[in-house]
This record gives sequence, structure tokens and C-alpha cells, in this order.
Amino acid sequence: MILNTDSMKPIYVQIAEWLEGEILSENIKAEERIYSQYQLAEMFTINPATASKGLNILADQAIVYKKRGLGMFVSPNAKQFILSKRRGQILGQMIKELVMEANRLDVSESELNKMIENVRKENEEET
Amino acid sequence: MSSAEVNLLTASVKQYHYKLKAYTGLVNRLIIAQMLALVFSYVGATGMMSSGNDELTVTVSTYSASMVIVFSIFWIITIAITLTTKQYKKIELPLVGTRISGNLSDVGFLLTASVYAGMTSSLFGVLLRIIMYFTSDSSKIVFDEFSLAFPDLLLGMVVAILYMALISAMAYCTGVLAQVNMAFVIIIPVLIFGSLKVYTNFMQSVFKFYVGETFLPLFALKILFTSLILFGISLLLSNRMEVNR
Amino acid sequence: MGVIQCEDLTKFYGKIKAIDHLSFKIEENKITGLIGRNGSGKTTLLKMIAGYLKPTSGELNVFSGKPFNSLAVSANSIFIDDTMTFPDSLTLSDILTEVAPFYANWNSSLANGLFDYYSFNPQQPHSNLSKGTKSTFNSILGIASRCPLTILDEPTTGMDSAVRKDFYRALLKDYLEYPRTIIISSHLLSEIEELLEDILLINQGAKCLHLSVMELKELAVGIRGNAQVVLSFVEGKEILYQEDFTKGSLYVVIRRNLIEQQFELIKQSGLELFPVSTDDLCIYLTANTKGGIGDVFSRG
Repeated sequence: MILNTDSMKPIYVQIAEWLEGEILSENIKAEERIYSQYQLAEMFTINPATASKGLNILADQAIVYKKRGLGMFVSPNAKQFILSKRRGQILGQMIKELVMEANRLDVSESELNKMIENVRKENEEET
Repeated sequence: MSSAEVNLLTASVKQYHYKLKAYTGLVNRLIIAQMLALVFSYVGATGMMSSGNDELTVTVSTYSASMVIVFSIFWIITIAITLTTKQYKKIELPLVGTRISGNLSDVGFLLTASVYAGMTSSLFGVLLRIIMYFTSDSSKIVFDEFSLAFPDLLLGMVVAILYMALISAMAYCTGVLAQVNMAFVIIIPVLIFGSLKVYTNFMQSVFKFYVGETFLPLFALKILFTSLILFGISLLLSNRMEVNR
Repeated sequence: MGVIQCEDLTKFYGKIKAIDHLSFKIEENKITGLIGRNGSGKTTLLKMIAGYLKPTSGELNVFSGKPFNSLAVSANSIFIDDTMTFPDSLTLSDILTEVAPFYANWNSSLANGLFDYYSFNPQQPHSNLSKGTKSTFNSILGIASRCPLTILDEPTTGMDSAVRKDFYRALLKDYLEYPRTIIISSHLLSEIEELLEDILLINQGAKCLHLSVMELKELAVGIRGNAQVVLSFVEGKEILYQEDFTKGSLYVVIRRNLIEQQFELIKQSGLELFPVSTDDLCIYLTANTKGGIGDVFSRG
């Protein structure tokens, strides 16, 4: 992954999201050890304090938990939690912005639905 | 985090070793200076005396290696002053140490240079004799003065070394003073030559105090003590100075 | 534990004030970026910390002792900049072997590894190196000495971008392996910000900001849109930077905490919100030029 330093999103949020992605794609499975702040620092050439903050975001949501002296581990229901969180919050936010943009561009509701339908179809054909 | 403990002496010794390696260029210049002096000594005899009448002419040429010593003295003065310049002080910056260790290692280097210069300039005297022996008709050499007993050679060496040490200390101190204030570059020579003119008697007795001493251990003591004081003054002066402005 | 503590530190060069009542504290094993414009006093401050220069007034403690002419500070710190000089009778490889005994934590395999990686000629004297390769060589000394306090004053001067990236990676990797307190001065923050934990921003010898990079990144926000609407939101608040775009359109930079509650409202009013890069923000915060560069040309 390449970090986007110009993004409105802080680096530590990008780190947290990348780790969530790794959990979603099951590159790191439940009860497995997640990267340490030092590994992340080395992987992305960032200060370990930044990496640590990214990990802490996950810990605060109980996506990962700390084993004393062993490091951070992925919680059993982490994947499920991330999925529902992304559906609820992130997708919700994106739809909100989508609707706002559609209104600005005078796109009607049916038109918008049709556009969504088209993108879905395209994706299905690709896979 | 491990905190490195260093004492002043180890830092000074390390800097001394570093400087020995770093200043080989300066040492090479001595050899060139001495060779040059040797050539001068050989080509131009320092004293020539001719006498005679119509039938017989006697020419006595005196060859002396003192030129080598004079050149070596110039060399050590240059080195001692060079060491005090900002440009050379910057060489210490990447090394662990303080102004004191920098000065101590300079002193160590100058003493080493004195020993080296004193020894080689005495040996050049021997070399000159050997050259004379092979290049000129040996029957013309006045043998009394020519042969040099080993104890005399040794004594000559020690005395040369001691003078080198004293002169280097004087030059180093002058160099440090010049770093404190450039005005000293003018003040010191004026002071020395001025007092030579005005306080002739006093200066003569000062001169006698060193040169007139015939008892070697006492002579050595006088020289070393004076050098120590001069180096001490230099150290105190430079210890308050900032580096690398 | 604070490795560097300074309180009311002031430094004069004759009558010129270089450092002006500066107070801050740098904690152990953090990488701090010292940022400031040309002539802001970065090098003077670093040289005082390294013990080269003497403070005119105020307190400065490094490893809980005064650094000026201190053996303890010298033994535990290294100061790297592009004016470092080495005798010409030493080759580059000589320098690595001769400097090594001075530093207790010196890692010679790392030094040689980096030396080979950058393909230096071992027989070359230091003074023959170009500006960039000199910086590269000096940076090897900075990393391999592993000093508890490593001071890098504009370490990347003259390096090309590939070498700079390698240097940052090498520094970070070795820092992770062997944590120590590092100060890097630079006027190019964008390049090093991901490496840093804290930033100390100084301007005309005085402290401007000392906070974590994460805080700095969220310190300010840019708003752009219809001038009237923008002004209605920022009225009465301190504006860090202001620029007219096209007619009637305005871009302002303002502290985030002053306006964060109104983000939704701002977006709904058709204004755009932008992150402010740390580089730009530092320029705005240390602006001591009058107006913008554009004013110079539009005058008369």
C-alpha cells in the first residue's frame, strides 16, 4: 500500500484502514497476531508513534486486543465487526455525499439508482 | 539507552592517535625542509677562511648542519601555529572530546614532532659528515672536529629536542593568542623585538637562563617547565572559546 | 526523562539576536524535526545543544548537564552537517576506521554496509566529494555512531531524491533497532514528516510551535468558496492565511478547533474544505514577509 500523505485522512487512520482491509481479506485471521507498531513503522517508513496510534484505533474498537507481553491479536469477531461498521458508517457517509452531489448536479432519484445498478452489473461481468 | 562514560585522558589519547594519522602531510614537509637545508649546507659552507702568500694558499671551509636545525625550527613554528587555526580546530569537531582534550592532543602531537625533528636534524648532521667523507678528499678533512662521539650525538639530540619543544610551545601559545584576538599577531613580535632593544640586559639574562645552563638535567627542567607554563596558558585561553562559528 | 531541556535560552552574536527566549523540552528516544526558515536560528540552537556554542543567557541542559565544552555531552552526541571537515591525509575508508573508536555504540558493519551500498570509492579524500555525496557520507557517520543524541543539521543538502529516500529509510530502520533521541533540522517538512514524532517550529529565534506531527496535521483547515459565505463563517476568528482566487472566491486557512463544529454546515453551504499541508502551515505560521510575493509584482 502507498500512503497518501496529501489526503485529508491522517496517516494513522490510513494505517488502521489498511489493517482492517487485511483482516477483511483474511490475510490476518482471527486470533492471529497483528503487525507490531515497529513492523508497521518499517513497512511504511513512518514513525512508530504514528503506527501505534493506528493500532490504538483498532484496539479502542476491540478489533484487536492486547496479550500482555505478546503483542496485539485479532479479536474473534473482528471481521464481522468491521463489515457491519463499514456498512453502517462508511457506506452511510458515502451515500450521504453521493446524494448531495447528485442533488447539486440535478440527478434524479431514478437516474441515480440506475447508475448504481449499471456499476454493479459492470462489476459482475468483470468477475 | 546506554550512556557512554569517557574520561578526559582517553579522549585526549584517542585524539592524539587520530592527529598522528591525520597530519602525516605536515611531517612530510619536515623531510623536504631538512633535505633542502642539507643541500644548502653542502653547497654553501657556512664559514670560509683563506690565508696565504704567493706560494701557498690555505682555505678552510666550515660545514655545519645548523642550517638543518634552523629549517626544522621554522617547520615546528609553522606546525604549532597551524594547529591553532580555526580550519585545523574543525578537524576535532566530529571526534569525542573537549577543548582540553583537543589541546592536550595538540601538545602530544607537538612533543612527538619535537622529538622527531630534534632527532632527524641531529642525524642529518651525521649524514652531512658522511657525504663530506665520501665526496671530498678525506685527507683534507680535519679529523678532530669531524668524528662525532656517540654520547655527543645523543646529547645534541636531547638538546635539539628540548629546544624544539620550547619553540613549539611558544609558537602554539602565540597561535592561540592570535585566535583570541588578531591584534596579538602584531603585539607579540613588537613586544619581543621591542624588549630586545629596550631591555637588552634583562633579555640577555633571560637568554642566559636557558642557553647558559650547562648542566643537562637542570637545562631540561627549565625548558620543560617553561613549555608546560606556555601550554597551560594556551589551554586556559582556548577553553572558554566557542568553536565553529 | 528529558534529554534536552531549555528555559529562556537566548543567544546573541554581538548585537544580533539569534535565539530569543526559547523554552522547550525534548524527550528521550523521540525523533524531533526542527523546522524553521533560513536564518531562523536552527543551526545556532543545534550547535548550542552540541556544546559548540555557549548560550548568552538562560538555561540549557543536555543529559542533565550544561553542554558547552562538556565531555559527557560530546561522548553521547554527534552533530552532523555539511561543513564537517576531515584531514586530506585520511581516505574515506580511513575516516570510518579512525572515527569508530571515539563512539561507544559505533556499528561498523552498518557503516561499511551503507558505504558499500552507496558505492563510495574507499581511496577518495573527503574534501573531493561533491556536495551531495559529502552529505551522504556524513549521514553514514550520523547513523552508524548510534549516539544517544543524534543531531542532523540539514542532513540531505545536495542529495538527490533517491538517496534522500534511502537515507530516511536507513535512519528509521536503525532507529527502530536501536532507539535514540534524534533531531533533524530541515526547511522541507513534507519530506520528513512521516519520520518524525514531534515538530519544533521556530521563527526568528523564538518558539512557534512544539507538538506532535499528528497534532500539526490536524491543526488547521482550508476553506474555499464564495467570499461572502466564507467570511461569514470565519468572522472574528484568527485567519492564518488568506488568498483571493478568482473574483468573489476566497481561500482562508483557520485553526481547525475554531470551526470543527460547523463542518457539516460549511459543506452544505457549498464551500470546500481542504487539508492544509504541514509545509504550507509552517510557512503561514512563520510568515514574516509583508503580503504575498504577488504584491511585489502588482505594485505601482
